[in-house]
Amino acid sequence: MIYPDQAAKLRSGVRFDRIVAGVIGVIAVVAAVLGVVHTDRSLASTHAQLTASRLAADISARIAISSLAGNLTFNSDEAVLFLEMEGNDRALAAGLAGNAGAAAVGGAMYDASKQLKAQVAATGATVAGSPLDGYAVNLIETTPEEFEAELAEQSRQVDLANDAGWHDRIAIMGLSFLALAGVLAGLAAVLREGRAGWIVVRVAAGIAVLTTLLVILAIV
Amino acid sequence: MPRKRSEPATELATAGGPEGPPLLEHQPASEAGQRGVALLLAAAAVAAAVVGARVSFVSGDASGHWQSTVRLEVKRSTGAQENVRYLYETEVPVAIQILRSRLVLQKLEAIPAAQGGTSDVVAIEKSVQTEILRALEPSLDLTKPAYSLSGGGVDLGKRLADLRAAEPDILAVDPNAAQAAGNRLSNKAVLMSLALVPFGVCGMLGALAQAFASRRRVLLRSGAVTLAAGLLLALAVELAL
Repeated sequence: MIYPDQAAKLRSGVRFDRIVAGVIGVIAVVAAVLGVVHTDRSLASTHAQLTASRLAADISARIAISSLAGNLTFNSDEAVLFLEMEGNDRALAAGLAGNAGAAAVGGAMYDASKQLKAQVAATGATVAGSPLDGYAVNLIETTPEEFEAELAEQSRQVDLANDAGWHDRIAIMGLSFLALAGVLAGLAAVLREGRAGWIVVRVAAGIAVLTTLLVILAIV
Repeated sequence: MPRKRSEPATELATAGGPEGPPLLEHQPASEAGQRGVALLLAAAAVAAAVVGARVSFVSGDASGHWQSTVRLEVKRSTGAQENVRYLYETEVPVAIQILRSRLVLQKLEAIPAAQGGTSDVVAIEKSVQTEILRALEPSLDLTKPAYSLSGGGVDLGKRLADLRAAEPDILAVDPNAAQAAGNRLSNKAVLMSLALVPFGVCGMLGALAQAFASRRRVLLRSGAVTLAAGLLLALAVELAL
């Protein structure tokens, strides 16, 4: 015969075991989900960081080459201008001095400057022509709009990296809490259905529930 | 009637008679049932550990590929910058000087005698331009006929292409290929990590099977099915990607 108080005690033990099993089950599932979230977010963060680094290197190259192209145009135009000025001034000075030969030299230089201008322009137009590879052509012919767009994309990747990194840290924090909940659940199983055991299993259950909320934070 | 050792524990019986004390649910269950729970939990743990380790390796490979894209991008862009810098800052200024001297010499030679074409000043200037060309032309490939434009000027695109072709290893650098490989491995790692969820569910079912003896058989079978599903998913991802 089972006395009522013994029966109640036995039922309480059954309930305790089921609660501990439920807490362990929740921990197992939530840990698995957080594992998936951590894998996804950490890879996303790494990808975004390295894409941002790659874009930064590309942007630096475009800035450097754009500067070189600008200097080329400036220096070329400068050479044409100097030849024109020299020819003009020589012709003028020689004319005033009555030196036909020197005036002829000045005139020749002035005429040469006109042709040099055309040749420099033709030279500049070939800078990104075939058979140059597509990457070099793209670098040389970057427009200000393309440059701005790449800059914006680089900034976006940095933001993506920070965002994914934050979600990853939430997932790791959740896994840490679940480890604690797992230890407490194990402790509760050892302590059994006494007062201490019930306190510990309730704490473990509370941590498991809170961590489930962290899963939502890590995903959203 | 005494319960067989292999049978699961039964629900709370009414007050017993000559058969003995009533059986209670939370009494230690049969050895076979407990063995089943232990095996299931152990299998889930081992599967999760193996798949988790594999996911970790694949993730590491993906990160490695992505990191190499940065290295390759720096190598490629540095190579291009150096080629352009050499051409624009070293060869082009000298080329423009050569074009200048050629044009001036051409114009000087076209001056008629009546306009001072035979004068000493013109002769001296011709000599100067000739000496400049003699000094500069041999040292520069850019102004050779291979790069000359029909209307005058030089083909910078062709010269730059030849400079880049002289370093085929840098020309062949392709960070996009490494990026694509990294992306593929990343997708593989994430998909494979999804197998951890069925393993977690299997662990939950195993834990519940320990506590709910009357439903142990169903819970163990469900656990085995989810474990198998997780293993199939991991294997499919490993083979397909």
